[in-house]
Amino acid sequence: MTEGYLIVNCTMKNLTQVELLIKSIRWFDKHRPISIITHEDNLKKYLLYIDEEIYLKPNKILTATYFHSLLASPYTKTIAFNPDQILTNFNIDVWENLRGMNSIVMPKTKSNFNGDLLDYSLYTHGSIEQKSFGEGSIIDAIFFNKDKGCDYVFGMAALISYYYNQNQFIDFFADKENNVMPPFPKYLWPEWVMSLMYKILELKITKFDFINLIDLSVRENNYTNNKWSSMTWPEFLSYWVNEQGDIKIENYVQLGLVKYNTSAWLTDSTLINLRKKFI
Amino acid sequence: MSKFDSGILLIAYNNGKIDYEKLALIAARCVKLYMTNNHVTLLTDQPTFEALKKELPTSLAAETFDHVIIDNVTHERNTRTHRDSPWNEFTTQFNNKNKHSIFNKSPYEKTLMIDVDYLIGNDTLDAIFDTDSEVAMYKQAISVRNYQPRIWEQKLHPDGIDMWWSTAVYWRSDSELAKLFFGVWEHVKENYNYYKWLYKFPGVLFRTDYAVSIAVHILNGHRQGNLIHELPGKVMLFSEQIDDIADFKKINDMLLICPDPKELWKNIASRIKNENVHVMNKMAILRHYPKIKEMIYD
Repeated sequence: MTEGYLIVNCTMKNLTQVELLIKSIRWFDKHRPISIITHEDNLKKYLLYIDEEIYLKPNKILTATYFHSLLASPYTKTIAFNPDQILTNFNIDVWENLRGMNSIVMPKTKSNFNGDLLDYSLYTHGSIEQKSFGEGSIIDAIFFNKDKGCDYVFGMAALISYYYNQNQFIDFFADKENNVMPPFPKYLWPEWVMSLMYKILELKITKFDFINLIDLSVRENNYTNNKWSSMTWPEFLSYWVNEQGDIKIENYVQLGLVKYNTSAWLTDSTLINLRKKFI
Repeated sequence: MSKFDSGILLIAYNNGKIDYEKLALIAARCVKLYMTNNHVTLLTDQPTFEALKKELPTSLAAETFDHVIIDNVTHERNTRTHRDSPWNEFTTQFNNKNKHSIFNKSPYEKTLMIDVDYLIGNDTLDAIFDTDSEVAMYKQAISVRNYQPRIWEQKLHPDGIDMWWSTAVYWRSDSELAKLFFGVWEHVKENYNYYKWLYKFPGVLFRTDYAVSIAVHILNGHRQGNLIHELPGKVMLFSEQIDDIADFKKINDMLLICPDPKELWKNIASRIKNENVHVMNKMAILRHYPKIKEMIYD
């Protein structure tokens, strides 16, 4: 019965981001192992604190690859992360809560750099999920427990993603479309699939804020502040990393899992201070 | 001197253009009329006190102020442009840079400091004295037109921190948090230009609203937090500097003429009754001073 962290979609391109995420996880949790899912051979030699490197041949269907990556976790209980993130605050005691929960736990909310809660409707994908399922899904950090059958959920999600074809799905469900089936998009993305899974397998999936997720990615539908819809955050927000390694945006300290989305802010000076803290 | 248990602190320093002693007199009477915790202290300087003595016969003084503190401070230069209706503008010295020092000057264990242009019309604020709050202010406000405040009175910068109003500040003198709060307020005042650059807000005027907002943000650990509480009622009612007062039926029943901020020639009338209201156009209050004085001592 093992517990550990998994970082998916690791490549040479995002090696710096993966390195920062690994080191920041290690800063908060000294004991649980960390594994990475790579799509290129032998990234491990560049990285410290890696327990296992799992090579997964990339599939042309990226959404299916994501679920295959989760299925490949070497741990019974896993928290999986996407790589474009850094952990600046995490209470490892939350593992205790997660053990008693469902087979899959997703965060319920995400917030802006200033603590304001973000709505799914601010994002193109999120708004589609919201229209189709009433609410979207957040999978920037996701907990899953193999002892409780998460493999079945991810297996089903991988199959749907792999064999998905908009026209076939619409045809197949045509006679059932009495306001209960979602409109099917042209292609699927992992959050959409997880929203579908949540809708049909609610008993297997829980939404619970086991981590404070700060999302800085572009919000295509933000009509009140169009900077968010047209630029990446380092272009219009003031940010810095002080010598203690604290990340500040508009003088708000960032505490949680910071999804920064773009590596534009990872300049030499910020990296020096971040590495100083996490090594 | 041992402290009084609880009360209201008013600050009035005349500046040659606005008669703060008259505003203080009105504000004090409003407190006496509508609040239960109505022990009133006036913090003022000698010239303002002399002006007040001319306004207030000894027989009425006891019905207005319970305690007066003469504090002859030297005011730092701080020029503010006021508007009196959409069509009249004037500049005055704005004596607010020592506002943080009220922590040490208040004679109360529990103090509610209100600006003299904040007219009390009900007893909502009495509730704060029965709470465990150590420091409380208003964060949200709504205009008498039912408009949100302008963006720079909601946040210091569109992407920046929330603005808190220093119009009404409550604190407990035995509170470490309150001591820290006023200390940080002073620190922000002394490094105002640095914080102006850091928080990206405009203007040359020293605004205590901005200073307290930054102090709140710092005390919350540079995050959103609830260390500083919101005053009862949660939303402060205000009338803008471009609004004018047409008439007072009672001191807590006034009729305002409110121009549309975007089309100043279009007005609506707004009647404010039994409400606490921050009347930013001080001249509008003073135009009705003779009538108000009759009403409040009737």
